[in-house]
Parts: sequence; C-alpha cells; structure tokens
Amino acid sequence: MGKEKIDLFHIKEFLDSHNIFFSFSGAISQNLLIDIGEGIESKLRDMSVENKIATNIFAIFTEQMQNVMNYSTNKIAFSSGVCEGTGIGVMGFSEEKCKYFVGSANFIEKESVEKIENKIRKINSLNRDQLRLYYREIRKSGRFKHDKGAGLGFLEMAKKSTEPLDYSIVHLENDKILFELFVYI
Amino acid sequence: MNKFYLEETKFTPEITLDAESKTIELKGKSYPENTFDFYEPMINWLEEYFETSSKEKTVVNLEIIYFNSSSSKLFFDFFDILEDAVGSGHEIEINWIYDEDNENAEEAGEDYQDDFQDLNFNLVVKEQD
Repeated sequence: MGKEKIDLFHIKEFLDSHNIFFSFSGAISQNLLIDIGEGIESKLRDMSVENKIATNIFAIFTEQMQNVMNYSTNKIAFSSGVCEGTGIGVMGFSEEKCKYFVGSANFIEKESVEKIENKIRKINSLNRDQLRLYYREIRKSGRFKHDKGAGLGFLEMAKKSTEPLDYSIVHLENDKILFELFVYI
Repeated sequence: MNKFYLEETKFTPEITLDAESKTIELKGKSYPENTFDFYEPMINWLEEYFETSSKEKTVVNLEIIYFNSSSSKLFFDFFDILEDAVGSGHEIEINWIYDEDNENAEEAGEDYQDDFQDLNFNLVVKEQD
C-alpha cells in the first residue's frame, strides 16, 4: 500500500472556502458533544451571533449529533465497552443564503431510508404554524416513539430552521447508505 | 417517601422531589444520551408519590433552559402523569419558568399549557437579577 500524504492544507482550504468554522469526523460520544457544544456556544458569542440564533444553532447541533450517536450503523467499540456511532458534523456560514448551517452525515440502515424520506418530505411541506401543530400531534400520539428517543428530532430541527431540511440519501458501494443533512438557521 | 435529589450536570437538570414539602422542581438543561433511562427513577418516584401522598397542593416548578426532542416527549409524559393525578383528586400547581428572551422555552410552555388544559399551568417570566 502506497503512503499517501494527508493533504491537510486542501482539507482546510475546502473548509475555509465554505466558511465552515467547526468540523468533526469520528466517533461521537455524549461527553464529546457536551465539550464541543460548550466550545461552540462561547465561540458563537465571540462571533457576536445573536442569542436566539446561537441557541438554535446549539439545539440543532445537539439533535444532529445525538442522531449520529443513535442511528449511525458505523460504530466503534472502545475497550471500556462503550460503542460510539461515527459520523461527520460541520458548522458554518453560508454567504449565499446569509445563514448559518449545521450539517452532518452518517451511515444508516437500509430499512430506515423510506421512513426518513417520508418524515422529511412531510415536514418540508408544512409552514411554521403547521409544523408547530404537527409537532404537538406527533408528540402527543407517541407515534414515532421508540427505545432510542421520541422520533421528534427532524421536527425539532425544522421548527428552529428558516428553510426546509436539506437532506440526501446516497447509495454507496458495499450496500452502504449515507444520510446527509443540512439545516439552515 | 425519601426525598429524591439529583445534582445538575451539563446536560441534565437539577431534580428535587420532596414529598414532605410537596414540591417538585426541575432546573437546568436536558439533553441526556438516553432520556428515558435517565428520567425513569424520577417517573417511578412520581407515580408512587401520587398514589401515596395526600391530595393537598403539590407545587411543580420547572425551569428548563434548553431541552432536546426526547426530553420534550418525556416532559409530555410527565404532564400526563400530573393530569392523571389531578383526575384522581390531587391539587397541583405548575409553574413553567423562563427567561424573557428565551423564546423556545416560552413557546414550549405555551404548547404544554395548550395540550394540558386540565392542569393549573402557569407561565412565569423569570425576574431579572
């Protein structure tokens, strides 16, 4: 196997060109989420981001990272016995849309594809008021509740976002399926 | 019943459940890794409390600065328990306390209030220090 130099410069260049000020790739744990979250909160404050927006960014980041933790099919087991889901998370600012974004990606089960697509399509068809009502309806019914959570994550993010959820499902080789999500604030 | 107390952590609220003073208080953030597991002891305590305690007023103070979507469902289930208790004759006063500029908390409080119209549910803007 040839040794390829890891081109950090180009990775950084790519991140910078997309105004990504935070990125993480690897195993996501609750502890990491907390530490990163705190770091981000104070960074956003340094950047003078309006409180309400900073709070929503933090909330959306938390939802996405916890989704990666719970649903990523690519898990790493540590000697402590803890298994952590792996994925990638980014946070940045879109000059084009003049909005902040939080993005993430992780491998998912084939069985989840249809469910996810249906959920997000439905959510994206609703306006803000309808979203709020639909959220309450789903929460009350417990329709999406399962052992890992309430199934309200996408709805929660949509409520705090100023745009439809921007997602894609990519079928890769080896039957691997990647779920990507961008949420704009 | 024994008093139930959990110290606040970065991702879970301070929880005080006191059968003697008949107060239930949650204060802080809520985004544990496994919401149902974390709150299970509290839920169990509450169910026993409402079965065994007198029906005189219980005060519930909730000051949740931020909570994830799983917690949102958990709190809904929590209010369900309170509503059942009111149905069996308990008097309960609920105070949903939030900062003036915390729109998410305000909206969440309004939604819960709307969903649980049988509860004495008060939206309380926190006094500025």
